[in-house]
Amino acid sequence: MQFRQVQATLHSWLGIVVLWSGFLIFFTGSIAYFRTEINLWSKPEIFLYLKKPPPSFESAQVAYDYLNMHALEAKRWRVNLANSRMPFNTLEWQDKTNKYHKIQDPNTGLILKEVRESLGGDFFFKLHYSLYPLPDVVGRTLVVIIGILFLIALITGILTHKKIFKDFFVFRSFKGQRTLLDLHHITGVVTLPFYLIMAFTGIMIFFYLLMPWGINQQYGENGIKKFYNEIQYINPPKLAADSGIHLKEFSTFSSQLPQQGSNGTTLEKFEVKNPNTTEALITFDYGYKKLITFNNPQFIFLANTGRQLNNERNLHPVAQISSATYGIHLGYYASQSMRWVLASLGFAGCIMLVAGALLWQKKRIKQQHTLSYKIVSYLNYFTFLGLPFATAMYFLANRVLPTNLEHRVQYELLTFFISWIGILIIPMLIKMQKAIILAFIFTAFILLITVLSPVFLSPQAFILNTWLHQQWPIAGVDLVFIFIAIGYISACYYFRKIQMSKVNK
Amino acid sequence: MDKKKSEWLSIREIFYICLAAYAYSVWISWVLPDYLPFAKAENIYFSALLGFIFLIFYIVLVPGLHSKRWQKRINYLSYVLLLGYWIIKKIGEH
Repeated sequence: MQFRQVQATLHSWLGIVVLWSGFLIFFTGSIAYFRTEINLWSKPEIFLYLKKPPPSFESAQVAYDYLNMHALEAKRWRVNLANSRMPFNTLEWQDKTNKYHKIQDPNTGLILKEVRESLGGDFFFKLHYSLYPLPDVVGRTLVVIIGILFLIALITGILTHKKIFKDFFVFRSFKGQRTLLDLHHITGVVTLPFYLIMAFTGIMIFFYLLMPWGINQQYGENGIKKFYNEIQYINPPKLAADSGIHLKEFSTFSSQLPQQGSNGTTLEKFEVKNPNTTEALITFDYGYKKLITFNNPQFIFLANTGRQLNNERNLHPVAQISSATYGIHLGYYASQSMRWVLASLGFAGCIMLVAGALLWQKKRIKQQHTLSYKIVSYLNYFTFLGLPFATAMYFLANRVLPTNLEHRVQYELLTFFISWIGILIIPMLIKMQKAIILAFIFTAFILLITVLSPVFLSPQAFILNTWLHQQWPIAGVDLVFIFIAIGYISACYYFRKIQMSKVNK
Repeated sequence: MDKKKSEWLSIREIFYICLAAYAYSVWISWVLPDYLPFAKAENIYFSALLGFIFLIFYIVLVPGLHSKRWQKRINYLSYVLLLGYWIIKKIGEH
């Protein structure tokens, strides 16, 4: 067997092993690029308060004052300041018993109650990196293993093809297996750099899960925190012994902060550790614009004295690589248009996987009555059609479940997983060809219902209303749903056309 | 996978190659931090990085070896290496 044939065999085996889980990770990761917009979309009650956010220092002052009054006993505060994507402050704090997550109007300081509980876009982010609701460590470890195997499948895929760039310019439509192969090549070549980078940076972010022994040997058990402190900072900030207990006024810090960071960004978030204790530290972070590393402008102060601390970043090339793996993978540097590009590449990768899976099936059509073939075709249906359907159902659940329902988040998740598993009933009852068409129609229908449902339930969230008020982050989500629904209906039409042409032959 | 191909490179063989690749890369990430010239954290990160790169190339290249016997020998060496290092470390601790 020649080297290229070996690579082809490896590509097929590893490809089929990571195919479905890979699709889940790509799909949810691509959606997660817009998790902020989806988070906003998933809380229609706050749309009534939507206004242009004030300058970031004013938002920060409002949030700081609120927390200093209502979260005195907390271990930590975290505040993401209002910006054009999310025009509200998000406040998080944790005391001895509970974790709190509140949304605040940055103009008035009002905490927006009566807001429905929903994970919104964060659910897809969690599903992407930890296969939520699996236990965190198990989920992350599985994702890293899938990432490695996928990366090897990519490399062997490159080595398999003799004429990779020539193939890129060839697409033969309505030619069965040939069409699938061309589609696999084109999407594969287009997304290759993106996925090589994403897979490798994803693996390196969680390297300590597969190779923890180096850290354990040098830092002892549970030394991860120390390791990350050292790789991020040369001199981690040290506390002063003489500081008091009470936090300083916000103006003490804001007067020492620049209006813009060195990369032209404004203040984005701040965090207070151990507020109202002698160990209180406040950290101000500016944006990541123009930065592929996590070395954004950052200022740390002793929160009780207002004295700025030295927090020299570790700029060693290896530390920079470590920082860049996060920056590149999470895409915080990306503008809105760049996020669209990244998400589109992610979805193109999903198409590559679908084409690869169907190709695998087509090549083995003679074995269609064997159990293994049937399992593969059901898994394909479950993943490629079931996951988008379950996603549509999750969005619909966000719109139709009562606002004050107790454990609402769990019901949303239940809707997602039950509809995902439930979709398998369709191919069990009718032929696979018809089941595919039905899945397309159902998904399109659910998406359209999701867009239309606010007419009666929460009129302020109806697309015409958000459009008229130029609330683009929200209207954009609904528009994408309409666009996808139309795409699904068209796909359904073409799928029928292909089936009809086969029957006529 | 047709029968002829699966006889040549089965999923079981690929699994053992992956396992051996992992054993080698763990060994690299474990041993190398003591010998690299950077600071402690950078050494750990860099050895893990090298470990992953080695793992990927091992899985891509080792199945290309014509001799099955040599494939197995190279795979076994990884277990010997890892186990040997662990035993030596344990003895050293006492």
